Amino acid sequence: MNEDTDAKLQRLAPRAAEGDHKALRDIIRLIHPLVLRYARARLGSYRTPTPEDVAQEVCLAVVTAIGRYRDRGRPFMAFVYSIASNKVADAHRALARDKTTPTDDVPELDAHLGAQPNAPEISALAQDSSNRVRRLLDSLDERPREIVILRVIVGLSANETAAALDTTAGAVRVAQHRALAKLRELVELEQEEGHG
Amino acid sequence: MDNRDLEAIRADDALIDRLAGGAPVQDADEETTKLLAQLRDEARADMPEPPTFLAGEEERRRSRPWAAGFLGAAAASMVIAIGGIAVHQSGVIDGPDDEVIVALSGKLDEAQAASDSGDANAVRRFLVQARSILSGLAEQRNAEIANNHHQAPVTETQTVTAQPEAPRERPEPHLAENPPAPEPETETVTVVSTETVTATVEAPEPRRRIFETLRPDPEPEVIPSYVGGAEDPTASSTTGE
Repeated sequence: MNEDTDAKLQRLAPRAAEGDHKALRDIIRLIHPLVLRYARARLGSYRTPTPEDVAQEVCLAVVTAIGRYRDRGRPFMAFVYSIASNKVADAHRALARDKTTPTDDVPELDAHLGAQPNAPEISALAQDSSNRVRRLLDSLDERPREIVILRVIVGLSANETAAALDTTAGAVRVAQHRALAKLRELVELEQEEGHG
Repeated sequence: MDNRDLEAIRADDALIDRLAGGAPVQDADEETTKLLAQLRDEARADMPEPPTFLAGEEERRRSRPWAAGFLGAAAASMVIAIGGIAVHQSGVIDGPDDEVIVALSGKLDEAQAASDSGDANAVRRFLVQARSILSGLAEQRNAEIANNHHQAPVTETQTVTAQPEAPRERPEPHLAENPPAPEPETETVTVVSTETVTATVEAPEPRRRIFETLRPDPEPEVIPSYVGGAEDPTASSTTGE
């Protein structure tokens, strides 16, 4: 997200809160891709609720709650982030309860990979690899994990991440550095164990 | 924290900025960087259109032809009242609205049930009751609402999502918590034209039904370009869905 987007959201939010439908639509257009990136970083696509489901739910929740948003100096992204993180946590709880949906782990793959670049098997393989990254991220504590996801996957700047998480850009930079160090250790460990 | 630590922090910040900006990975990148870039590319690929909850003229019409005629007449002012409630729910105006919304929701449910059973008189009766529930509030607010929000002839759809339990349980403005799944009852009132007002009261249904896909945006500048080349398909992996 660039700073213009942040400023746009901040400008649109009070208007949307006052019932301006166009402002609200513009907000949804701006936040939906960000929310979907976040949901995809936290949830695999092969189980329900899917990241797309969750992103829609987040947008609906924003629409429902927008009237209660008041610009009291709290960044609008913090408002959106708190909804998104809760919806994703809900989805994780639902997935944990529901044992009937397929697992993220890809079943045995046939040998004919590579025939078509977009073959389901290829997607499944990539998915498996992405799930590996998700597992690595999940091994981080919550705060550093969220920082890495907001920075790397969603694409927020250090300042925007700090605003969303109600902290400082300096704290974000230190935390992301430590998180990367931890991830490097974990990856190295996996490679030693023969995963990579 | 010595200078070496600061250097390392800066280097990682630069690396993360590069990843956030959608830069493709290099062969020389370490495994961790490649893994993060892979998840990044997957998360950014195949972005669907954003949902819209305030659909315009592309509204689907519900087929309740027998009811549409008289509902159109009976509900003309209901639309204004419900519009008021929608605005009210959005927090523009203050007041003891919870009871009103719950009562309205109940009456609309009853109207729906009557409609389902084909009892036109009962439908009319419940709509009248709903109107009377709203009349006090609506009359007080209509002028203000009309001035602020309905200056142009109304040709639009209001989707009112009434969550009977939720408002009471979460007085704190921000949202974050999740209502313990009080399935929202969605009452959609469709106003087809400014001349002939037709309203269709729908039964509660799965919330996803109310999502519509936005038409291609004629104002491309509102689509964020958060991350330079991130939206560039060439920066995407072949993960697909």
